[in-house]
Amino acid sequence: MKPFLFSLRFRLILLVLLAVLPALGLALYTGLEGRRQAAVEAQDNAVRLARLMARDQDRLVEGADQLLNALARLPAIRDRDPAACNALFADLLTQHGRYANFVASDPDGDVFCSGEPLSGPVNFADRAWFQQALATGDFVVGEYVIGRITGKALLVFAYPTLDGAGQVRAVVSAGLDLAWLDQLAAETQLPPGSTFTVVDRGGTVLARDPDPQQWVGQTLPAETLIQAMLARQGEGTVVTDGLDGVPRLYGFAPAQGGLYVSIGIPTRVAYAEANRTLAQHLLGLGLVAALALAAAWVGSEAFLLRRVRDLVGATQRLSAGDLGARTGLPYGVGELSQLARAFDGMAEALQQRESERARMEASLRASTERYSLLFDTMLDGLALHEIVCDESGQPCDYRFLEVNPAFEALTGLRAADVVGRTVLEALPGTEAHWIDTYGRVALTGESARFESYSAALGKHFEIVAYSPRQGQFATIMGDITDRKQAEEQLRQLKEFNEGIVQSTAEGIAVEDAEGYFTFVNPAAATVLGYTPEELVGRHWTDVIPPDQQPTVRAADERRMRGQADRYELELVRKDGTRFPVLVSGSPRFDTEEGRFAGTLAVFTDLSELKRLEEQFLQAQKMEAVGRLAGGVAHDFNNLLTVIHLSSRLLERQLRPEDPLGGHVQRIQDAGRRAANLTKQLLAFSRREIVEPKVLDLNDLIGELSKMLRRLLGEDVELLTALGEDLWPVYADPTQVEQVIVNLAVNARDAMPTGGTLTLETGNVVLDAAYAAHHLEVEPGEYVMLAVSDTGMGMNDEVKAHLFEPFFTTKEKGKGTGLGLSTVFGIVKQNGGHVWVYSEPGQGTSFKIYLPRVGKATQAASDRPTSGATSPLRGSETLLLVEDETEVRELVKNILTAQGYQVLVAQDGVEALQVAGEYKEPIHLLLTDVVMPRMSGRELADQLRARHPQVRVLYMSGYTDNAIVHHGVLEAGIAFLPKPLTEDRLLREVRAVLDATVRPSAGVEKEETP
Amino acid sequence: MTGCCARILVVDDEPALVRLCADLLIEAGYQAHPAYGGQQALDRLEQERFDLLLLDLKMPGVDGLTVLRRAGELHPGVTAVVMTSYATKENIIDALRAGARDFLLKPFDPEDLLQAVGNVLAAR
Repeated sequence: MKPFLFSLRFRLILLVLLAVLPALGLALYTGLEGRRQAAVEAQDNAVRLARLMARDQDRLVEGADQLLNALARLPAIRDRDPAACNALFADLLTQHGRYANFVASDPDGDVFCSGEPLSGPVNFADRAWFQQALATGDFVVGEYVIGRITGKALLVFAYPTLDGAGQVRAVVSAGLDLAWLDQLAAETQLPPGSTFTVVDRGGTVLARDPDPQQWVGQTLPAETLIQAMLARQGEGTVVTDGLDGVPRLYGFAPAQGGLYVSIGIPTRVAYAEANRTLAQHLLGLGLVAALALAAAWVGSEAFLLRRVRDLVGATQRLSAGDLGARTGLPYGVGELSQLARAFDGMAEALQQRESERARMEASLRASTERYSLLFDTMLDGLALHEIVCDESGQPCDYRFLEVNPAFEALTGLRAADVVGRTVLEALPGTEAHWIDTYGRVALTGESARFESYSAALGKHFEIVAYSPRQGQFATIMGDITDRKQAEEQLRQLKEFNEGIVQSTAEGIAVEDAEGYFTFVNPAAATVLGYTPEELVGRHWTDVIPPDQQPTVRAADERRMRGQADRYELELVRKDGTRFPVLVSGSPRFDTEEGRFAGTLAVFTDLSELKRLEEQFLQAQKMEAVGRLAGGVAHDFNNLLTVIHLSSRLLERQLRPEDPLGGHVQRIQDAGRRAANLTKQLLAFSRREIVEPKVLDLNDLIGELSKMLRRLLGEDVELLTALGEDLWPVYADPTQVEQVIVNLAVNARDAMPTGGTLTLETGNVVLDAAYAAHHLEVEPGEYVMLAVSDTGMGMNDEVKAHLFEPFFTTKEKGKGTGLGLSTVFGIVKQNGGHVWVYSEPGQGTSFKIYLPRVGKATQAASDRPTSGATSPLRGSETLLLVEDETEVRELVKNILTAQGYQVLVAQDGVEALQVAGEYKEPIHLLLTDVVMPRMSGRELADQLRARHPQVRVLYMSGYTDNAIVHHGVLEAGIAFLPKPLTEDRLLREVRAVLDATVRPSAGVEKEETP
Repeated sequence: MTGCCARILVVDDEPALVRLCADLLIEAGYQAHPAYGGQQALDRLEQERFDLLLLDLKMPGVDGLTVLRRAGELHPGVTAVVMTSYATKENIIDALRAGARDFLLKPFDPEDLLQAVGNVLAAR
């Protein structure tokens, strides 16, 4: 109960009660007032009723007065005729029921007439009414009496009949039956419980309703009512206990005849209305109050409590943590609604804040997780450090706070080993600059970014250091090895590309759409005689002569249509000279708009190529001519042989003095000259058999010079400029002499008015670059022989055909046209080269290069021999047969140096002799093929007869790739081409000696095991 | 062996040369038989044996080398002196492989011919 006392409902009800109380008082007051008024009204009513009744009484009395007055005048009365009177009265009785009897009495009081039959004489003289009537002579209303005739309670009216003299003759009286009065009273509609009382002036009750028999006739002067009535002598009211003890409101009014009429209404009845009204008021008020309370109860429930409870509930739920708790109340303008709204708003806000907080938390958690995940899985190494400072606040170390797995992976440091420790503890070798750098980051907040290379890990790192908070720094360490490598590759590629562009021999030029150079590479600039800077900005017409420009314009038009092409052109250098190029011109297009942006021209200087091409064509031509000449020479030789032999036979049969001898001699001379020509043709076609020897050109020239002077005549001076320590060459001396002679003859003919012929020799090295520019030239060491004159020189046309057979500028009959072609053929056959330098009027210079011999030359040097361990060494006995002393000595020295036992002979005959004297086995015959007296083959066959086990290796001046390529074993005849090289010689010797199958020729079947 | 009895087949596509050589050889006491071209030489080699072939290497149709090889097959031990104006190494080397013992360069003197033949036959 106690909580209830504090409950809102209780207070509300209290409030309602407080509110209702004045109303209740007011209602009570109003009720009481109403009751009072109702009482007054009741009193009025009672009085009015009493008055009404009194009027009725009055009318009764007046009726009786008039009746009696009328009766009194009747003759029967006056006459005292009893019979008539009795009849009359009896009749009247029937007419007027209210009366109990009519009586007429004589002045003495004796009744003479009665409506009711008399049973005896009756006298009323003692009656007051009678006496009064007599006394007054007027109408009298008597008092309560009991009729002496009727025995009934009566109120007697009397009227005296007077005679003419005014004497009372009779007294007529009428006894009003009080029972009738009672009846009358009873018939009167009175409130229940009311009493009707008529009293006479003496206080005797004349009529009473109810219970008339109890009260009528009683005199009750002591009664309050009676007293009040009698006392007031008028109308009034009094409240008093009735005769029956019931409190009543009595209204009373006087009636005629001294009667008083009172109506007593029980106060209960009289005030019933007022009480009822009051009760109704009170009841209503109570009801209202109850309603109000109920309404308060219910209303408080409906309008307040439920909401409050909802609010409370929501609050409790809210406080219990249910942020979704809402009042659920409709929002209106009321305070509770506002409160609910405010609450909901608050809850909403709270919830939002909560959810925001939850979201924040989740986000934070997610972020933390993400960070954690990131931290753990990121590819970059991440480490957090705290800087450690010394007393003076200078960074002196730093401590690892956190490192991620990538950091571990990248650095090889384990988190367990470093976290919590300082770098100087973990890595004592850390340089101070790291600490300085990181210290700056941690203390100033400036971030730092740098790259670092770890040689130990072979990795490049990019390190970003920043300070997440004062005194700390984080490092993010990315492995940029790939990037570095890519950069390096890119750089290399760029360098490579750049290098290509910069170093290529091709000229590269980029033109803009208008044809101005925007880029040229060094090769382009150089070949054109400019610097790249000079050339950039120039127009292409600056380097292309006008006659060539239409070609370029046409190509430009094609390029604008996207067509790249290639064409030959002549360019003009800065110095005005022209040179041929092959241009590859590609269009360049704007990458965005696709507009023609110019040309990319790559051009090749064709000068060299053209020259080589000419050389090649020349060589081809010479080759073709040579083949032709060779073919012709063959048939010629057949015929010449016939001529020769025939003339010899003819000569033999002639006697010396025979005059026909001159003819035969001329045939023979012509045959010889023809054979000579044929030989020259063959030499040119390089099919002459050569017999090369190791030569010193200086010696040869020395021997030849006497003959040359004779040949040149007096007008031409011969000068020689012979190089010192000239390298030997391996060549057929006769051929070389022929070359010199032919050139000398040519020179003489070029200097008809005289001049100087210079013979010059020297050692030269032709390098790869030279070789690249000259067809058929192998790089290497050469001996140069130059034959120069101061003659008329040659134009290009002449030079182009110079070496062709039968090409001559001489008068018919003065030259064969084979001189220079023979020179050409011989030089080529001896592995050399010849070039001519000549300008018209400037003389001519022929330069002949013959390969150096006597030491390992180019071919040997790329297969070096290596001393004692060389497999090319040996201890076998060799028989070396070579008619050329120098070659023989050379070969002997080479072989001896390698441990071989070397027997020597200068020809086949001597060889057989040496072999015959030598008792030990001879393992190898090393012999020239072509020798005087006995061919190499002859020698081999004869030697084998005596030394069956001997193996044979031929040497020959013929350089034939086919022979070389065939190899020594399969061919049966081992063959060593001249010129010899040391390496080649040793290898061939070794190969033949080591061959498991003894080399044998088809004709030596019988010797094959 | 002396020159008197040796049988020599002279082979060349130039008839005049064949006759001249044959005459020179006969004059020197050899039994020289002419063959005008490679085919004739083969035909004769099928039927007869010769001690020496004097053979031109370059002939139309059946060339000297073919004749030389065939002769080697038919008559093992037969010797040969080849004649050529074309001293190409192939020819000489091939001839040497095929059994030739010496060679003559056209044009040659009668003495050259006789010396070569004499040498070869003497060495046989």
